[in-house]
Amino acid sequence: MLLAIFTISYIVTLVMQVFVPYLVRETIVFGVTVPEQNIKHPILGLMKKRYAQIVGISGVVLLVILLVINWIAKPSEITQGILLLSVLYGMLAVSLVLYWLNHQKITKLKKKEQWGINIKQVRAVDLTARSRDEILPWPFYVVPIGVTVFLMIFTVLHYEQIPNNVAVHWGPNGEADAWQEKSYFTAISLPLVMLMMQCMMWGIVDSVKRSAIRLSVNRQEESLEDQLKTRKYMSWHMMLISYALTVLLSVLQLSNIYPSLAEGGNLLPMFIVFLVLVLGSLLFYVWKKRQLRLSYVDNVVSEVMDVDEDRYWKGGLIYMNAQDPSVFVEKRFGVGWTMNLANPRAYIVIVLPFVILLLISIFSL
Amino acid sequence: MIIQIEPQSDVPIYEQVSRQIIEGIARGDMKPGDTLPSVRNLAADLCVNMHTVNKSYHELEAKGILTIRAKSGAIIRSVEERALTSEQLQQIEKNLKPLVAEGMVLGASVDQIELMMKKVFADLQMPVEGV
Repeated sequence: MLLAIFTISYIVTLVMQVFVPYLVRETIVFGVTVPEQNIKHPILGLMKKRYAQIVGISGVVLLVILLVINWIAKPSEITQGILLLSVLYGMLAVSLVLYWLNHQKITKLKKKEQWGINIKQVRAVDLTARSRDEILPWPFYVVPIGVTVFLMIFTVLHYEQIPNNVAVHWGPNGEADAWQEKSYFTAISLPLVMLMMQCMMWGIVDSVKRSAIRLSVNRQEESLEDQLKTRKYMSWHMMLISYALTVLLSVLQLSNIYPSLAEGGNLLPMFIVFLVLVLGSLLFYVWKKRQLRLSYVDNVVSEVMDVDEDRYWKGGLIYMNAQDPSVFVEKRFGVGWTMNLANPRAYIVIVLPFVILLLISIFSL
Repeated sequence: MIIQIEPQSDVPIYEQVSRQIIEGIARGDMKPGDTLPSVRNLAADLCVNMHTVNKSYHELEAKGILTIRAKSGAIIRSVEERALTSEQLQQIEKNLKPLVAEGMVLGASVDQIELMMKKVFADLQMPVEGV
């Protein structure tokens, strides 16, 4: 079971890693801004192709090695766990090293050939864009919080009924594998975790809403559509995760009060549905991003380009721009969003709930 | 309506914003009663400090072009509301003076400057299509 779940997640991750250069904006290649005027430089296409090939082949080789070892040596559960993780991290390490080499190469090439050096950099903003923003409004993210509060009250009212050992961890087969002695804190620790996660989802969506809608100056209409839809789908994805988590954790919590619920692997289908939903929603987002991606047939002839923000991106991966009021920006290499680490609000919205979450887990596990 | 800011220009960003909003209204891209994005949102989109946008909005309010309301944001005034006062005319004249003077010093004639004014006026009134 563990192996099956792992293999599926591994393949999804691998496919994503392979296609990242073709999913991210074409104007940002391995984390380096390439002016649209140079976008069809032959080296860029070649580098992307090589990256995809090497990551793809080494990823498959690693998976085959894993499956063979697993088949021949039949390792114990702990060894198997270590093996799975090292294969996953091995694959990610290969893609990261390749990314880094390509990032350096393109940075050098850009400097050498002086890309964009005489092109005026402008930032285009559509004043009507905000009124067309389709991010789901906040009540969608507050409803699950209500469920959690209700669940906490319900738990306290049924405290007597809870068995002496409270399940706090569940294995991949859907059965509890770690328990804690019953107390009011351990009894409501699961709803507390839920609450923190729901707040985080809400905080993320709210921060994305306050973050910039960025147009591409030479492709204004298409880039606006991309931005608005990306924001919309992101908010749907977050809502789905928030609701799926709420259902999953509520059932787990109820199974603590009514242990018969969790007997005989009853919960397994729910874990699987949860996993499928989250992965499916992520793939939907990726697929939509691919559809919305601006494609270029040729180098653009224009006197302006978008503002080159390379100096705010450490290694092309970490964003730190103290002048930018946005908390979230879209990743430059990879699908999704990343934080502006120079914005203090980022720490309040994300890091604080995360720390609280960690503290709850440490004290209740 | 789209505005374009040059972060590296010598013209301060708040002024670039004000100028482009005024031009947008003159051109008819923005109509009386239209609401501008909130200060916070526009600052995020422009990747600038909130004070920059705030300064621009307040400048436009002082010029009688916008009304800033606490809840509903910055609204473009109707033509009646922004009826030209003699002070405003004086202000415009004052602002024009250095430009006309520069033209004179460089040898532009009255006719040339008048023609220029008319051209700018006509450009703004012409509907922009396919841009």
